[in-house]
Amino acid sequence: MKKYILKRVLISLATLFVILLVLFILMDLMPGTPFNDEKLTEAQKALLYAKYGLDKPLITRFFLYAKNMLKGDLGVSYAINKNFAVSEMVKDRLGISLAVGGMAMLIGTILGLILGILAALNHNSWIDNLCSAISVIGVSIPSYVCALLLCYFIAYKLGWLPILYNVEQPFVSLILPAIALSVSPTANIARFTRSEMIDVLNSDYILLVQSKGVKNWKMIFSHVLRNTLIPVITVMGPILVNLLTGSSVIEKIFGIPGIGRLMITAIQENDYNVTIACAFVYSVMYIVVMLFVDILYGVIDPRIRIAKEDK
Amino acid sequence: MKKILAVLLTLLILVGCSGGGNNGGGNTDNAPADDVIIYQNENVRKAIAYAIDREAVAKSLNDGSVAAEGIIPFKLASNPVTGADFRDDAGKIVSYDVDQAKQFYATACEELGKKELSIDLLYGTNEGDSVIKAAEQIAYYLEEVGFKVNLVSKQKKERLQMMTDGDYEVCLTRWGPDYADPQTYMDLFVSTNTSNNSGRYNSATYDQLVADAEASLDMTERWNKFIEAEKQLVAVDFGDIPVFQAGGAMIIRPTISGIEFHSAAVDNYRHIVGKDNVTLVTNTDIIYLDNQVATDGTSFIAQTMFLSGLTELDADGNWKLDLADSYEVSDDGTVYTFKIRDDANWVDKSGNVVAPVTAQDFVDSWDRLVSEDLASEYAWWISDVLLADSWEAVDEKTFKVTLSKPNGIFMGCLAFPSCFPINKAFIDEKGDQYATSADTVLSCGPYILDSWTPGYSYEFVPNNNYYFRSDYDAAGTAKKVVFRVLEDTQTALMEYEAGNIDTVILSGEQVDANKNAEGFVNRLQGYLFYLSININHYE
Repeated sequence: MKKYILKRVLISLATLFVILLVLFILMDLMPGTPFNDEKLTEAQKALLYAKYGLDKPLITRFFLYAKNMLKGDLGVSYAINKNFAVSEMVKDRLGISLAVGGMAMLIGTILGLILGILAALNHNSWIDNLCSAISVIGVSIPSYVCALLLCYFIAYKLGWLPILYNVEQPFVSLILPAIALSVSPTANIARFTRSEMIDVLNSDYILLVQSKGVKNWKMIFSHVLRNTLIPVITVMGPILVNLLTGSSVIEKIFGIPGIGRLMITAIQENDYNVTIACAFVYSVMYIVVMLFVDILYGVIDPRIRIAKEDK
Repeated sequence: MKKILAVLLTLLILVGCSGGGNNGGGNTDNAPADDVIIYQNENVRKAIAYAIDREAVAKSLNDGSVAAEGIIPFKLASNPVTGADFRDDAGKIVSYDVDQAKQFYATACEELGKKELSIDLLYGTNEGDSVIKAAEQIAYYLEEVGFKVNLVSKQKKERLQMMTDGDYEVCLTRWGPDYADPQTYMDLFVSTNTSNNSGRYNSATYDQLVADAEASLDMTERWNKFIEAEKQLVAVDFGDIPVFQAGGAMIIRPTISGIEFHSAAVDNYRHIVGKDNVTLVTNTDIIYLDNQVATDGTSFIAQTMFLSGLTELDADGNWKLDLADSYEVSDDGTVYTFKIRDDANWVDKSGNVVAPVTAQDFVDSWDRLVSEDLASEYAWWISDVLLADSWEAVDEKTFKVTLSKPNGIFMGCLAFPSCFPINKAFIDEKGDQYATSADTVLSCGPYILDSWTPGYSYEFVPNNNYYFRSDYDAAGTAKKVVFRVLEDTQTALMEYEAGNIDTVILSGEQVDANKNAEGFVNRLQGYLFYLSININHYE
């Protein structure tokens, strides 16, 4: 297992290096520069290029960036908050996005599993239909519609929760955004759990368990759920990364200074360092979560662990 | 592992090939000689100019935008003698006439030997809903007279790069005036201005008129030359085609007042009255707190809250003294001597006086602004707008400026944040950290920047060491001014209704839906949108 994890970690690091390089090349190919501004003359643009070292060849800039990155220095912002350390910008905003995303994941997982299990256990009954209907609605309604409806009814009409994000009451004011964000993962997890669980319930080994006379609830928890969760965890990985890296739309609606909005603005403003940093954070999280999911497989299913150790 | 190495190697080779930065520049002049240069045909430009119903375009935007009557916007500059608005003196020099446009179009087709003319109309997608709407409207009117229009939408930075590279046909672009004088627009279109004159409009007559105006010592002659120059550009050569002047719709809580909008200068939020704690909405965050590097309205507005200059503008746009308590002008109007207030001080975030504001602070500021190291966008402010040749600190509180020639807009233009004083010792002490947070700036204005959470809000509290503070307090000026960064109009409207914020900036459909709301304001901005025509575009 240790050897397996070590190998995965090394591959992950190499992947990240390649991602960084690709990001750098993509930035260079992006039309326009951070200094496209009707008020800047060509001479001033050249001065700014020199000032920020952008006049150097791409490869020099890349290795300089990579070297600084190891020291935790992600450069400065060129356009969004001029001369701000990007590491600070990303750190501040990532925290909020992690909080909202984490809450949304928690809500989505719990609700999704409950809906999915209920639907599967009551296959082809009205409960199944109801749960499926909820899932379909959840998948089809865009998060911003949901967010605006929640804002209007729960916050504005009833006044139960704040309308917008508020630094002074972060938890309370993040509940609505988290609920809005959790709608789609809830539906996805519910649908996935349902279909996986129905498969498992119809399998031969469950028939065997049933024929042995194992109590119903015990069978569900120790045999059915365990086997259902493996594929569910696979889809949860990417969902989690998506949620944690912030949603530009939800952040805009609730006035949350999160990383999703920052990345969109950075791309629009051609703020190279901020774009690279945001995209890189996204990549790191994705790879870490995937690594974690892989390791988790082994914990849940001993067969996978043994198979991987054999390799 | 081998696979990864192979991928890496390929990428490295790719990088090696692509090399260098993407410094673009210059127009493409390397087209074959037998190609048709459509936009050099005057009738093509005339057809475009006559085809657009500017009134209808402006009205459809529904946000207070007005049809342009020339390239100089309304309420930009007033006649130095009579005080009349430039537009009143210059009159309406654009017209809308479909029949004439069709005739010009037919003649152009004939002259160019074409059955049909097509136009690529470039515009920005992230420059506000009104730009997208306007581009679509313009396309509609051009098609009415026969043009085939292809709308090309790009992000702002890419659009500007395309303009710099001369890689466009016609572009809906804008210019925000830097100061209250026609020169801020007229300079854009002279043939030597390769940075702004992207279309390469080239007229010796126009260049001469602008040069004459700028060299003139007679203010009336200068004024009249600008009127002639504008006519040459817009109504004789049809070099660039003015379309509309931007408006801005917002809701301001009826109980508060004192927000001073300026179409050719920074809006002033220093004198808000009617409420102690005011929360205003801004749809963009501060980009830079350093008043000498900032270039955007949001940053400038924030800076005028906590910094002061020698003068400031009142609600009507007239200057009054601020950090200076008196000044003298030499008889020939070229030497200004300012006495800086004895009670003008630099104050830190906790409100403690750090140092007095001295004449040397102005010398340091202006030296820094024009220095190459800073690469400030407004480096030219000192020489081209203020027309200052030299500046010195005569003694601790006496600041002397020598101009190259008399300048009627000098005193008003001192109210621009780029030429506000700086505290050099503080800047040196903070180094790279200077102006990156509320802790790394000093205040010499009516407010102190109390906090700044990027992407969220910035808050101002009174500077009790500001010399006019007692006047401010007597007038009931707000004790706390918060700017909240909000991009979504719908939730902002709910927040406004709930009483948590005091202004809402409206856009798109929300303008129409709220135009009867109490506190609805349609303001006129200085931005003039025009069609830049790339004269050298080869088909």
